[in-house]
Amino acid sequence: MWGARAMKEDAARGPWRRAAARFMQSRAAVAAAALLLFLALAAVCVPPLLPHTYDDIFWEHIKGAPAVSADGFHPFGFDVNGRDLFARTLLGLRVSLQIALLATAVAVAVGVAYGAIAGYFGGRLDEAMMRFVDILYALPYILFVILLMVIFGRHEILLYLGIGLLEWVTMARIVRGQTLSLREREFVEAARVAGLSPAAIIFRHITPNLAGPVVIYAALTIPEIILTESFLSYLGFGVQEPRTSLGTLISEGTDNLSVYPWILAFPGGVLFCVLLCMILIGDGLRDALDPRRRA
Amino acid sequence: MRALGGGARPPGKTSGGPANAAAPLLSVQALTVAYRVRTGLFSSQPLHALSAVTFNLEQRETLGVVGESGCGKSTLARAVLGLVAPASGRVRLESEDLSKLPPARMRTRRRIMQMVFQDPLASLNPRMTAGRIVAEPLGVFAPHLTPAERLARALDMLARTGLPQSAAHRYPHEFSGGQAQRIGIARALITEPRLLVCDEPVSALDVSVQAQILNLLADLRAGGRLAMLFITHDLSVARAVSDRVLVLYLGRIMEIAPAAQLFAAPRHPYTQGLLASAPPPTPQAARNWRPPTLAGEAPSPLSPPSGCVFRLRCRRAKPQCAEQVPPLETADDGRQVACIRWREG
Amino acid sequence: MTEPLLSVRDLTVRYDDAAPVVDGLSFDLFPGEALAMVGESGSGKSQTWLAALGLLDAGARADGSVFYRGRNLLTLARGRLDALRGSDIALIFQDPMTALNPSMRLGSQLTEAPRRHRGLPASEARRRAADMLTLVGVPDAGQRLNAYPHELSGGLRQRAAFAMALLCEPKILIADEPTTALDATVQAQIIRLLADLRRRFSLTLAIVTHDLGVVAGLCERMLVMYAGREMESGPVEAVFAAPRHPYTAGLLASTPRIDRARPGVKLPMIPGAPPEPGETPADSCPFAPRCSKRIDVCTRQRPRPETIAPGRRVACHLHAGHGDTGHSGAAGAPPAAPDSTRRAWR
Repeated sequence: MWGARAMKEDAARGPWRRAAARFMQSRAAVAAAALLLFLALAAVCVPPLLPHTYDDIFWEHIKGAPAVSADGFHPFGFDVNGRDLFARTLLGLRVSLQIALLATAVAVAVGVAYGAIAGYFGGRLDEAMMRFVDILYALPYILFVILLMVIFGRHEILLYLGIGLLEWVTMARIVRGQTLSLREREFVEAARVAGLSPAAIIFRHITPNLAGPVVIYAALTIPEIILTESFLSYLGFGVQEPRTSLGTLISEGTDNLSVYPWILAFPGGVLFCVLLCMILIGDGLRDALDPRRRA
Repeated sequence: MRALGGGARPPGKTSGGPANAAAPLLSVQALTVAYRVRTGLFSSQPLHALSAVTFNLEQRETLGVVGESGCGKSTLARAVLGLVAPASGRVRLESEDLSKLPPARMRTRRRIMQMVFQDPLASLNPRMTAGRIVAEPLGVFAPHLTPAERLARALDMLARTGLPQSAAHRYPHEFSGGQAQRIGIARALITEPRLLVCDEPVSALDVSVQAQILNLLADLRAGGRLAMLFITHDLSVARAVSDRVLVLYLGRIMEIAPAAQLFAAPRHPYTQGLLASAPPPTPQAARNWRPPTLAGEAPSPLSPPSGCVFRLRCRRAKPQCAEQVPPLETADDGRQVACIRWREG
Repeated sequence: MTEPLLSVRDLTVRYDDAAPVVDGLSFDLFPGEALAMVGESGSGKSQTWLAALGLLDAGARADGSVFYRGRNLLTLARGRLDALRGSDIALIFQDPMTALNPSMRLGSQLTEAPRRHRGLPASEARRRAADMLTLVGVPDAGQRLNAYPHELSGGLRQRAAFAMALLCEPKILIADEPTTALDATVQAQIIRLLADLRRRFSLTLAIVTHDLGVVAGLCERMLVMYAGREMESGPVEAVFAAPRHPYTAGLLASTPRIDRARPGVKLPMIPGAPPEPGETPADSCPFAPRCSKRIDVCTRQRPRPETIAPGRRVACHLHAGHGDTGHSGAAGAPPAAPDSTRRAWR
């Protein structure tokens, strides 16, 4: 209540810019965002600069230790098939980030539309739509994805979509709950009085005000998606050879953990960094977009 | 979907006026609104927020609607605007039955009836600038205008409600309550409505700002042909703005009368009790203030008493009052009272 | 003149290092009187009492002094202040639910303090609680003791909150907007109840309100606050009849009145909006930007409350130096209405 003065200082700016300003105040979140950006750029820009590709096999270096010398640049060592682990880790990072972004986009798009429609119209439609969500919740989702893979073949895109379609259920529930309370707000009523159609109200008045919880939840979903993909890859249903993902690399690493620890340590370290960054960014976004909830 | 509505009714219908000059702007007939309230796993029970409410609102008239919380004031506002569906009864606007309109047509008809809300900040989308908020209804009602023209009209309307041009680019959180209410009024007036429904438009405002908004509404009313349905719990505010006053209790009309007469000589025992409950305006008046206060509080609308809903708190209740709902009688002088004993004085 | 029961001197409340929300406030509360603290949101009227009772939020700091029976409440040890709050000074809030624990039956809540502070046995405490509930107008008091707060209506909850406060037999009852959340007919009941309780228990009342009707109906003395400072104080009748501060005058004139029809006539009004806490420069009158009588000095020098007549103080440069120039109705305040207009329809 007495923060009125602070509010005045960042007047004449929109809600997004105020949120951005608050985000920039969180040191941990900004550092995490910078590190993640660095990792993402590395994943995209570094591989073309390397003298070898992720599937070049160095027969003499199978399970070889990290080595940087005039002979070659192999800071992460080699995997069980003698391929450069640095190049493979970068590829794995890229694939994992792609999955995270695409699957999250799918989850957000489907979840927001589904939840907002159910919440805004309410009544029987809402009941029916939400019972369907409950049913999806009850399905063992991993089996579901595996089934999808078996039926449609192992396309990477399908994997992205499959994971995204799993995650939207929770998003839909969150969005529906928020929409139910937004629907009762006077500005939504004002939009109805102004003659707006339900579609216009949902897209112009409801969804922009869902941005806070959606962004926060999406940021916290990304680590979950990366882990799900890792898990599926670990089971062998993920990205197919010779391409790889962080999960696949870790799966290979665990098999050789006691003797060749670097095969696990490097991809595992990168995954750990990515997840930690995402969680810190999620926290920062929550504080920035929903300052009231900050303890 | 918008093209359908926009095409059906050319915007800017300014000539002529109502089809029949004698017809009231708004005619509400036997309007009943019920909500279903869950009382158990498989049982629910209707809650009558409004029961058989009948009244007319003339062109350019301001009708004050007063009553305590839970009396159905806000439901009345929303039912008139078609925001809640009535269980029965009719709302006619310019002789057109709104309940029979298809949704798309109803949306375009909203041009002539707009609303001002109780909580000015909550009624503005926090993610839109004031200019966009005010211009938005034009997108529905005047789709032929370019965005620039819409913004120009919005600026004009903001100026008419006493806000500077710079306000258009600012967000709701940057305004005080009074300024935010001006934006809400500008948004309502930009469609050039004939009926403005005001739901407690000043009760969330500071005392020194209330008068500004009341005066602004008075100005707007004087300058055009605007009728108002003005909902308030504050009797002083009702007196300041109303031509006629409608008193609601537990979803039923107790009394309708011209403001001066109602405040000078209320006929319904509830109106009498309500007026006597108002705190005295001056210490001199307070010296002799021994309010014959109504005992107790309004019963739950889930289980209203039989017959007259007010009888449990009425000091003049008789056994007959429990037998039937007293009809809203029109007296010789045109005032309406729903009490079987009002003639006894 | 009698000794004040409570005396506030130079009370200043700040949050963090921001500008004060209560700014150098001094006033007395005399035994047996009913004092109204009048002001709009952000005027500091509630903060004043929260500060006096040590109930400010963390992060707030109160300076100055609040003397009660020779002790400065602001420097009193936490435990002794708590004890004082339980016995001598009671506080009632706008929303009675803040005083009542939603998960406790009324009976246990009402008997808790008397049992702890006075060591009453349970049965005796319960009997007294029931008596007190009856006294504040709760019907079937005996059974209500078994009810949870949410089972009561708004008016009954406020009555129960009064009963809880009065069971400790306080000397001072501070009520923060006690009628604001209630319906019109219930408001009148509560005002009457407060007046009755005051007589019966010889209470000293401090009412915090923005409602001039509550002031007129219940209080003898009023203190008008704006932006954390005293604008004007004095006997209610005198202030209503001839407000000396332009803000008071504007407030009285701009409030719609139930006894006066103004068909087509606009209300006199104060332009602008009350300042946010901390918006007012220290060396200026906080009301100056909205004041129609503003003169040069108003924005250069802070007006201090000065006594202009016995018991009346005004903080306004227009009254500086000269005691009782008849500056009545500074902003066209209405003369007091005769009682007859009200009686006509009663």
